[in-house]
Amino acid sequence: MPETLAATSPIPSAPFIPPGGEQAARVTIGPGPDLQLASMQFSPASHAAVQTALMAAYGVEAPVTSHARDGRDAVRFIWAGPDQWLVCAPQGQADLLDGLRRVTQPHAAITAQGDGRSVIRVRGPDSRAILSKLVPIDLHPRAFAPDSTALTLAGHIPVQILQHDMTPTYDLFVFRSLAHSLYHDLCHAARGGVPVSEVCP
Amino acid sequence: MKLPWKKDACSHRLSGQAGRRIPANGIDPDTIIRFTFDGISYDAHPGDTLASALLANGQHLAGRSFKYHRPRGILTAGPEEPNALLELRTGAWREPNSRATVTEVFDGLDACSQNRWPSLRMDALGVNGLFSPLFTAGFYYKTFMWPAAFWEKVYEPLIRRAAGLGRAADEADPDLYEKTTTFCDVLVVGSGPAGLAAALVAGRSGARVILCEQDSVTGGRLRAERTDIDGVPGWQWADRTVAALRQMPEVRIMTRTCVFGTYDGGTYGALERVADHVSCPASDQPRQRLWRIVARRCIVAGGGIERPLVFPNNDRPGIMLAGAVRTYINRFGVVAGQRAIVFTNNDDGLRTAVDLKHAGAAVTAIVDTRTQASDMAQQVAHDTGARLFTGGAISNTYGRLGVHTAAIRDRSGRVRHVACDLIAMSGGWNPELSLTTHLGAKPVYDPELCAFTAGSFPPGMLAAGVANGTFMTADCLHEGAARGQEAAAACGFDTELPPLPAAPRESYGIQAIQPVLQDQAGRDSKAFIDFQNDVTAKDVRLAAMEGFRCVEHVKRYTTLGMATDQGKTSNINGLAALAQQTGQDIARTGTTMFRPPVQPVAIGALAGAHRGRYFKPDRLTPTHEWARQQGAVFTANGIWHRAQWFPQDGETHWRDTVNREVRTVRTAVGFCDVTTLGKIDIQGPDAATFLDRLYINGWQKLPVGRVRYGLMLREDGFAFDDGTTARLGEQHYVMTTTTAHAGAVMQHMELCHQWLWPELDVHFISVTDEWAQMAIAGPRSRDVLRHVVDPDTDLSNDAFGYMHAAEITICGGQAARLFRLSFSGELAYELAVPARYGDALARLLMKVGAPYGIAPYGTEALGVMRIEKGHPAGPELNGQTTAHDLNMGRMLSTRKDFIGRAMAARPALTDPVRPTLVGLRPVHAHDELVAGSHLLPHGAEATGAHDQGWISSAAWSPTLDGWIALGFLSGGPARHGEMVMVHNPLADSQVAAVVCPPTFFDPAGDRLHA
Repeated sequence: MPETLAATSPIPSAPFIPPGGEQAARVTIGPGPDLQLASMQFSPASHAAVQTALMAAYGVEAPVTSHARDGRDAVRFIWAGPDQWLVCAPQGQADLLDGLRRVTQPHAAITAQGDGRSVIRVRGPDSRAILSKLVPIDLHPRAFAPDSTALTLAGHIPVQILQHDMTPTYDLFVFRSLAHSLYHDLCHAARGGVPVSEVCP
Repeated sequence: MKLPWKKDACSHRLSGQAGRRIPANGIDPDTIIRFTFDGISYDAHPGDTLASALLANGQHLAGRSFKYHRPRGILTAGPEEPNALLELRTGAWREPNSRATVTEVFDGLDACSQNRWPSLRMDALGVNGLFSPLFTAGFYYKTFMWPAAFWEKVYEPLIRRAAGLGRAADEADPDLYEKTTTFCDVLVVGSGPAGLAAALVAGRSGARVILCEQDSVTGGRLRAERTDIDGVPGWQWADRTVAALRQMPEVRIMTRTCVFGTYDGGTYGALERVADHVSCPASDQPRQRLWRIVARRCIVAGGGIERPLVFPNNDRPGIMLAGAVRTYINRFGVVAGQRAIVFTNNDDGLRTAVDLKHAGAAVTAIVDTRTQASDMAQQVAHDTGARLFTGGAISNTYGRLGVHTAAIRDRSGRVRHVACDLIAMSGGWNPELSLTTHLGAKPVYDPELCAFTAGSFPPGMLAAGVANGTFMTADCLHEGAARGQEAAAACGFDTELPPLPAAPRESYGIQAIQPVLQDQAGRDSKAFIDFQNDVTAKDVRLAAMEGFRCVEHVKRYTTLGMATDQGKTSNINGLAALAQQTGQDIARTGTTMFRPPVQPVAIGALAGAHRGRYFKPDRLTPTHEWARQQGAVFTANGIWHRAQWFPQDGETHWRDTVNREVRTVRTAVGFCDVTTLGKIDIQGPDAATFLDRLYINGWQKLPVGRVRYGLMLREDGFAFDDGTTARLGEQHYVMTTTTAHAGAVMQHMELCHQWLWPELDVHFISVTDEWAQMAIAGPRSRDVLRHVVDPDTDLSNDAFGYMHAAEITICGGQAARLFRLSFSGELAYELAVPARYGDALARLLMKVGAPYGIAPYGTEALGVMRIEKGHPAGPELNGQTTAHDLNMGRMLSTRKDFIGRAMAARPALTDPVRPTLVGLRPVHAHDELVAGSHLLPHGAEATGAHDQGWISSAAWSPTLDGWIALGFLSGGPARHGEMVMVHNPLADSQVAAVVCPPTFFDPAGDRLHA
């Protein structure tokens, strides 16, 4: 009987807390939740058919603006460009790829991405200021709110960013091979602290 | 003329006065901090700049000038300072050309003067002044023309040593920098009365507002003047306003932050000096932070810059801008002299006389160049007891290390010598326009203000206050508030204008003067226009006489305005001098282009965190950590890091290692991480059609479960990329690309699908990172795999032959993909597992492969084996070769259309004498072949005319025990067996080699089909 393979992650499992923040961490950087992750693509001609099927199966349509939407069984549809989505679901429940393929056939292309992307979670009241050192988009609540997503760059690294909640918590989806570099850059940015002008009175 | 002589004015005047202060709004007089200047320790107070602290300690002399090494003092109180440039700190932290006027003093600051030897007071190169007739406009161009060979070796080092300013640190910058981005509705640049009023109104509207102030404190000129607003000192009103702004959650106030550039789309560059004002940044704290501010509206309220007056010897220490003298009095409590002369062409300069008198200094004379005495001039002269010279001028000054006498010429032409230790001069104010011009807008000359104002603004930009040519405090407040309202409204935030505070409406009454008074002075006196680059009125006149008319040419010929201060104080005076000489007015003369940055920005700040090994991100393979533990040596392949070879004990040269790795694969089994190859998942009913159009060969008939090699061309018919594509399902393919071209191929496919053939129902996405892919190669590879794959996969040659592909399970149910592919020419497989298991797979292969003699191999062994097999790779797919050149002309399908088909058929691309892929073996097996060498007919002279091709890849083949190479040779396939010369012009070597087919090893392919 061959031995089973053990998984490894490109970033440490324990969240990084910048020095001095151990008592009341204003930002933490660590792995995101362990997710099943798939890409979903379908042509404009198939939109109606696929959206109807998704609504029937998951109780939600795939969003056509840069947002995420939650369906049944915590299946999340995240816009990832025109006619393209990232779909995620918690590990341990029904196989996401099988489910999606069954629901969307024969229209959609479903591709496993659970190992192609790493998810880095940045969380805490300072996370916006820290992320702004790398991500050149407006993360102010008036422009970017929970369930907002964007495909952008973190420094030189392409990322898809998704805001999770108002803590705020952000998840950065990054190519696995670049995850350790992004993690380094994020930790470096966090060590540099929050610009004084950002500190609320 | 007999010069009046007096003992050095500086030391005389200030003996016993060091550190004496009067009450001021910007320092903490109860706390004393210490700093050193040229090794001498001085006292200062928190809030001081280096300039104010030096002045308080009686030190006017701050530096030596650039060209003539003339003693220079502090001219200004702001970022425009041309003279007081110092070296700060020591060792790796040494920083040259720091402006004393914006350097905040901290306890322990170590500052040095620069551009002097042996000392500031006694500078040997001061003799340059004696040779000043030589150092005129265009000096370098005229003097160092010939011999040309002297330029680099003699002239340039000499010039650089003699001229130039401070010394950069010899070591790498030890500080940290960072970059960040922020967004707002309204960006306000400057926190004087106009900026504060604008921020207040915009902030109250609810808009997101950023207020940037380059200074350490807010208030702008309100800190420098004795101006009351709403019955309190202006700086108190400023403090209250800032306190109110701080209560607004959407208002951000950024001090020590200079907005230095205007860029496209409402983007502004700003530099925040985070820790310049402390001795050392805190651990991990950045020294400076570069901001990219994206603003829907920007209100420029950065005030103005005062102009010097141009008169003979106007550069002596103790001759200062009038507004700066007031700044030092009111903000820093420092009176820069005790016997002052005020020299002005406007009412604003007269305020200095009032403030000096109020501070306890004597004002001995007011020299007002205006022909009519203004009401204010008469009043001020009366109140200060100064003698008023209406229509007068200063015709010369005296004092080697500090001014002690001025020659004042009155209206009648009579000259009087008046003792003084300070001359406060004002030529009027220039609105600070730089930010309005960075996108190309031309300023316009306002003859009434004698200054340029913004002619037009970039989209989204407004201006208020002095920056907009509005000089009275009351008007600045009103204009600022109105602009704030307008900007907020443009962003959708309407608000009413609040009642404005009571503020004065000062008189200005400037009258332009002929700038050049040189004629009345002695032959050897100089009237400086550009203090930092030592450009005099005479230089500008000479340039004009030599035919220079265009202001941009005059700038470059004389170097006027080209120093680190970018001519902030000299520009208008230079234009006026040129205009006077050419008989044009200033408006017609025009002004030079302003470019970002407004103030110097350190390269470190522009780089931010992206420096050293973090200049670029690293892409790591799933087995990187494992390979590191094996002692692998890595190589960069783009941003990928790949194991190049895995040295073992006893191997002394990398070639020993590579030879062993090759032999291991050829005789037993090896494995190599090939994850870096681009992998693109392609799905959809039109997937095969899509592939047909991308590749030169056909895809419709490839069965499910099979792999095919494909070659892509560019639109111009040249080879673009190659790789294998497997068909995993009816409508499902997975393509591989070369590591180097993975991104470009993806981009190419997106273009083709989105733009050329949107009608194709096909979808594709990168899965490069999804799968950890391992090449397992060698005669024992099947034996090793049997320990890994689950028993239901039949690995026999019949069941899973060469070019088969399957989705399988391994290790008890783990999904994987298996491809029977061979780059090495051996029986080989590529096994792909989800990337998280890549590390574990490598460890497992080492374990189960041990009995078969398994070893990991790196990219170098991979390269040797592919050369042995004649597979083209990057050096062959270099963008200059065609399918024909690669001996793949027969793969070009004639039954379908594909990208590059038409252009590939051009006669020049199918010409049989084109250099075509061949193999080469040296006649003497141990003669080294080097990639890049030229191929010549045997016996031909090594000239370009005889050049018949080149070597693209070369390697020592441990399998064949000799050097082998791939190359492109004119008419190559017809010349197998011919002897050619391999000429390496770098080593000037020639090696005889025999042309052969490019497949050196196992040409029949028996091994890979085994």
